[in-house]
Amino acid sequence: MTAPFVKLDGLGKIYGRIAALDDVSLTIREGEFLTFLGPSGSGKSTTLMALAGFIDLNRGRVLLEGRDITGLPPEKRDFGVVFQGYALFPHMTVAQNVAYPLKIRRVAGAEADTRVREVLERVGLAAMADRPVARLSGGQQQRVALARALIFRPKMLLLDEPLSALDRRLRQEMQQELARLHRDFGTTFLFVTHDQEEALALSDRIVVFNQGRVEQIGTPQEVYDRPANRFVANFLGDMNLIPVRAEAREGDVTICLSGTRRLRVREEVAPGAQGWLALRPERMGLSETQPDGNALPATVTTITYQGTHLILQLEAEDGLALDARLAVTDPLAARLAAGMAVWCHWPEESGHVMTE
Amino acid sequence: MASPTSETLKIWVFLILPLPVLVVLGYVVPTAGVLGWSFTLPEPGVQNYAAVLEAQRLQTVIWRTLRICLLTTVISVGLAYLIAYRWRFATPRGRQLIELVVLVSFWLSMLIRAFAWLVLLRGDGVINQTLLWLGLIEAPLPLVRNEFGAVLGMVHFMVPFAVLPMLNSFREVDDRVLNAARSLGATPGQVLRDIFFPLTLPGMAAASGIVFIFSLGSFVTPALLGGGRAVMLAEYIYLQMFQLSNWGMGATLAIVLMAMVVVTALIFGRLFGFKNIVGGLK
Repeated sequence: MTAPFVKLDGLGKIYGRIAALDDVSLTIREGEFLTFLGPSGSGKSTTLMALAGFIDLNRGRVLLEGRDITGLPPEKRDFGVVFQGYALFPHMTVAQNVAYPLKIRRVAGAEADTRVREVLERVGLAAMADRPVARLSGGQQQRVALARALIFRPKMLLLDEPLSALDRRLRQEMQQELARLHRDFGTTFLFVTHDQEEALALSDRIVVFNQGRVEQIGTPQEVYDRPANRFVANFLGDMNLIPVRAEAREGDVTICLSGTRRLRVREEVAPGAQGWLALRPERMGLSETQPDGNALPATVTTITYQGTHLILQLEAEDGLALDARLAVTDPLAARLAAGMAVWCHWPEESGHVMTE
Repeated sequence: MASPTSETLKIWVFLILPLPVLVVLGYVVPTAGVLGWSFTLPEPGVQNYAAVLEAQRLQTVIWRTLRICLLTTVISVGLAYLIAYRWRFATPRGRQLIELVVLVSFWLSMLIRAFAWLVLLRGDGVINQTLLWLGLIEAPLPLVRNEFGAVLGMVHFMVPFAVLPMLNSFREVDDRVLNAARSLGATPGQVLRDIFFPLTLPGMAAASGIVFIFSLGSFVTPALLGGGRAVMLAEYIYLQMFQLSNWGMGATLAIVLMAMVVVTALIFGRLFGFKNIVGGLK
């Protein structure tokens, strides 16, 4: 068995009395686009900086291709880093910024010129080579930072919230740019963000951080549809949480009880376990008459018009609050009104039980 | 009745008026007077300026002044750079300590500092006595009452003036920019050479300008620690005016000194921008 590309093994970092990192362990696969997602102060940036070599860890090891690099200084690690705010060298031009890693590696003359021109073309800045970096827009500075971090063909590219300073339009443009550069260079990308949409759109896998710990690692679909716990469920968008108790198994389906209602989930849950049935609002349908399968009666409390869909707040039995998203094309949409009694229903494969 | 705006205007004029009056009475009139003396005493003519260009003794004083000032500037700014560098990368506590040490020496009267150096440096002073007692030297070293003593005292006086304008430009260097260079493969030494030093150069230039200009007019420190063997322009002007009653020559040299200050300020302003020189003082 070959060693994993990068392995973080039980990282711990304490600032004063606060544990910034608490036993963070994960592996990074070569060539993947891995995202660290979490709220501010969750440890995602600290983990990235520890990986880059800027933080002295209190505990744990960082392994690169099986080799322990925990104490290695940043310049020996060969990881490209794109910092928040880009951290360009303000006294240099675009080309000088991008050429700096080559200068350090004693690559000079025609080869250096060719590589600088080539990488600037790939990020779409060929015409800007001789501009001072201070006179570039945010998006252009971002591209310089990317070119500078990619030109020396690093083993991995670490990106610390690179899009957070850009406005919405530019963010979406740069997201596509990042995805293209990842395909183009084939380098492993490690991306830190607090924006779940960004994480879902870009990543091969997502690591969800909270309070210095890893809450879940998985593909975007896994963390979105099958969150490991309530934190992950709520952090990645809206989630209905219905308290349930697993009753019995029927093949690959578990029958759960919520109050007196029987709800079926296509998952294996140990009978007797208490937990939450997690259901995304967009997975829930509404009807006026009781349908077959999973259904809960509820009253519409508020309706918010969103153009393509309606956001509904409903109250089910025992005061349980539910959210639903209904397409405006749904036949029911025109007839809905606050105070109306409806049935919320969903297929058995849409629900997910969290027993934590 | 006057409208409110013209009323406000009157108040503003009244508030601002003392400033131009002070400038005219305090600077323009006396300077014009000194300029007048330089052309009229002891008799009308340009003979005083001709003497500046010809007299060996005067040129020696002017060159010595420039030499001592240059040496003082280089040494003070060099030391100040080390202090500011240390400060930049110190913990908050360490920074406070460095600021305190710099400011205490800044606040001490220059007379007290000059006499303190005399106690340490003179022939029967602490340093020479210790070295003699240890048998490292056979006769006291000439540490004071010469150019060495003058430069030492001036450096001590000037280091805080060099440190303070540098702190601003050192503080403005972003940690992330330095870390970025490390991540791109630069060792700490290369980061200092390629990134930190170029980014702090304007602060260093501002400090050099300030120290050089202040040094040009030094009087007390070189007079006490130079002991008559490192006479600089300011002391020489004093001698001309108050010992020899040669008011015309004293005034002429005062104008020369002022011209040196203005020329230095213009050179630094042209090279590094006035804003940097002035901004460094904030």
